[in-house]
Amino acid sequence: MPPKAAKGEYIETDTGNKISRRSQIHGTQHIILGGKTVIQAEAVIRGDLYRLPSTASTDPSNPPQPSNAPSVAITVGRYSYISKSAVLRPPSRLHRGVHSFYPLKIGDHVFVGESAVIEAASLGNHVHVGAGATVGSMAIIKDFAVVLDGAVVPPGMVVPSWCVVGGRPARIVGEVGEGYGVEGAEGGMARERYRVVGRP
Amino acid sequence: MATLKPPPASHRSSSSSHTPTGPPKAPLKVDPSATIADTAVFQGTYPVTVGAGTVIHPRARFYAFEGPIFVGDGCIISEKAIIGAAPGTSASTRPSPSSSTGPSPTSSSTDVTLSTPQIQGQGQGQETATRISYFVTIGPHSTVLPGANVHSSATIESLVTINRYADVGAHSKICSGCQVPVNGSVPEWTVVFGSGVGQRRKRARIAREPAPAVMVAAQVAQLPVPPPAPEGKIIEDARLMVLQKEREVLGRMIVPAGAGKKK
Repeated sequence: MPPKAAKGEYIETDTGNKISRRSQIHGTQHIILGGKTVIQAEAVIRGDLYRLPSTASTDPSNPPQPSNAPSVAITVGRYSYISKSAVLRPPSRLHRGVHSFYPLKIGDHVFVGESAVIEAASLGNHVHVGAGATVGSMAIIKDFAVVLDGAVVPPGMVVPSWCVVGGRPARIVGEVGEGYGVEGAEGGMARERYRVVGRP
Repeated sequence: MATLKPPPASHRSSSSSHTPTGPPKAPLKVDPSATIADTAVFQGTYPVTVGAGTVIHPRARFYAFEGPIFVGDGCIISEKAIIGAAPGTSASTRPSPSSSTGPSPTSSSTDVTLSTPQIQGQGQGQETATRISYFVTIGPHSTVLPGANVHSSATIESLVTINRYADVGAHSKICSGCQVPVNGSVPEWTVVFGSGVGQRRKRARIAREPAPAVMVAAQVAQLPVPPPAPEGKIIEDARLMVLQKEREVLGRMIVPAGAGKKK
């Protein structure tokens, strides 16, 4: 497939998500996009790693309920942006002898940089993850936090709001300035970012 | 809120390996208990061997152009991991649409060091085997170049580059973003972390006395105090048990290859 497909690089859904035709999304039925989200080419989103409905261990006492609600692996909020080659995979852990995957929640106005690997439990709103960064399993990044390029957020780390983390392993290296995330200012360019995607 | 609809089948198989004009598909020798995702890519002229219980995530790529690739039992190869190198110098020079993930340091280092006959002799008799031993975990976006030898129970996290002829010892861990240099060697039970080549430290393996609570409990119960346990060993055993569980779960979740097309 040529890099510039004639039909346009992006598919636009009813809710305004712009999804590259070359994105590598697995298990779409377990992914919820909030709308106006951009997913660029070669981004891998592992919706197939969802939490299995209660396995055989709970069978004898209460039979598993018919799962009419599909378990969600990945939720992404509005105006979030998943760059090229980023990997989103739900975290997994062993709990009471059962290894299961847990949902990965991504808030609104989140930016995920190129080739970043996100295995976090949650990314809050207005979070910025730099290119080549790794967010380890079950980490929690709170609102308005910034993960610098190439940072390695270790598994289970909780990054507080308004903090800048960087380095390997990531440490808190500063705070974001006053007015970060205000619409149109630094950290508040998500709408603009969304608007320019897919423009000829 | 809207749920994405499944993409059309043609969209999924955009990788060049599925087109008839694409590069040769590597001969696969897979244990029946291995789980290989349908979107994993195997290219090359040399065989790729995959051991029992190994899980290969979607979008992992194997390039057996310079020599055979051996993957032992019980490994997990994550998405976008690259084992081997595409023809040419490195994956990043490849004109395929899904190729730009190779970190640029890889290409530069391979260009410099590939003057050895093993590399130029690609397809000329010389071959460089890539070996991944038992119970190895390879994270997303990591690259294992030809000639590398990853020993058993090693963990390679995401965005790691294991350069050519490097040797990663058993039970070692290469943390995210690190590199093992060409011909580099990581001893067993070592953690490599930090930037670039990174810092190293030994994993704790000291024999620890039982915890005070255990001593007290033993006295109360009038049982012999348990012998000191090698702590690192126990943790490592537990980790490997968790890994086993993870493989079992993944084996059920990953869409296996061969549902529609046979390898």
